[in-house]
Amino acid sequence: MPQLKPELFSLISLDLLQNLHSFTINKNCENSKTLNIVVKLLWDIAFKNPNPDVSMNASRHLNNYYLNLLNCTNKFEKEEEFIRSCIGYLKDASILLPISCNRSLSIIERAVVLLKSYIEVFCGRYSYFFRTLKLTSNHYLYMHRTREKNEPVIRILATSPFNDKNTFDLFVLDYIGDLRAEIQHWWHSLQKENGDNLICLVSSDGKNYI
Amino acid sequence: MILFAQFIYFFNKSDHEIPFDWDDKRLLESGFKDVQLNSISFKICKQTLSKASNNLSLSKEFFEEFKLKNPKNLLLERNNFELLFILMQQLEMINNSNLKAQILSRNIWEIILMLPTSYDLIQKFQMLQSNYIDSVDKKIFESNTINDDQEQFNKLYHDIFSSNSNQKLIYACHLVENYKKLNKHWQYIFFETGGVKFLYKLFVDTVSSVKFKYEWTEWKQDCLATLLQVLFHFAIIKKEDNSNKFDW
Repeated sequence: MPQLKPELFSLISLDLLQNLHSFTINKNCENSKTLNIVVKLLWDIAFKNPNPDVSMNASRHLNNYYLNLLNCTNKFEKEEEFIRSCIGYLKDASILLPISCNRSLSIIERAVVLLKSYIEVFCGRYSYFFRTLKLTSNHYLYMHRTREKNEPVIRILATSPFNDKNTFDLFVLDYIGDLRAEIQHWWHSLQKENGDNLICLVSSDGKNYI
Repeated sequence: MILFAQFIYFFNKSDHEIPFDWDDKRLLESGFKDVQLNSISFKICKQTLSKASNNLSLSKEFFEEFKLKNPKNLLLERNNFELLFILMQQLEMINNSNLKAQILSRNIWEIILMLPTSYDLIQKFQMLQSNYIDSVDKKIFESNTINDDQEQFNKLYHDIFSSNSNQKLIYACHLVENYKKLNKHWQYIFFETGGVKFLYKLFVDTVSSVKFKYEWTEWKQDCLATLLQVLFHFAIIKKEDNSNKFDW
């Protein structure tokens, strides 16, 4: 099956390939040759298959693989692999653009969708870390962004176990991780000596958040 | 990885704990309201620095790694970042009537907005500020004038405001606006170091460089609008010595 051209895959053959992929993941560890071939083929299908359904399906599978199925080693190797692959296709598209406009546009379109959805999921999942990064950085991280006006604010009063209180203004589209990082950061500044303790949010007053 | 969490403080039974893997839920979806004051409390976990359930290590090493290698930062690496701008420009130049190309270039811009600001550019702005402070010091001690350093500032402005990419120019203009919001001295620094003058020239040059209809792209118009906006915001300030004359 890996000898089939990425352009020629149908939904059914893609399904078979995805099964082969899951099978290799379960059976072998990372870095197996088969796995690399299968993953490369999945990338090629996502970018080169003329059928939008097949491409979309392969993209979804890749996103899921890179975000959920991996046995993370916390080394960010897979994140690097994901970005490297997307950038690789974008480079090709940039070279191809003057030669074959439509083919190039289709690659760019797919790369954009894949990248955006990947980053969005990643941002949510790692929202605590991104926020901590923002709070501990010595300069404002988003200097090129002009904030949209009138974005609704959520005001949250946080109470510590020792009854210290502080209010936090967050935006409606911020994540629970953002709130946790803000409160952790504040708590850290209050408790210099025990600053390494992590906090865990508790919804109180019988109100059930989530 | 072993999770060892021991909760030191007692809390009511009606309270319920929000686990770490709910970090990815939006506040609005989680019952927080934008029309009222919401309240939340927290407790302190005594735990080792790792968490098994979703492989998020909480160690300092992990955080250092995360800083460098999260996907946003990977895209910010010089070559990758440059590629995104090249693509936007290529798509801009294709054809005004190619709607798909126009939309895609905007989509890439949206990705740029998701990333932190390019550190290269931040450094140049920091350099501008520190050079300004140096030149003010020199002015005091050596009766030197800022004008002597003008060339050096001009070179920096050339690096910051790329005249060959509309997108880069818009990007840099947004930085100028934000610096102005964050630092009240900034508008003087920008003015005194010739930034306003530089942008004015750039604006005039850009307008006069448009000769053909195909060059009048949407991005070009956005770029000119952004330049105008910056000039407008800076042109209404007075110089510190109270002479409000504006000599270009």
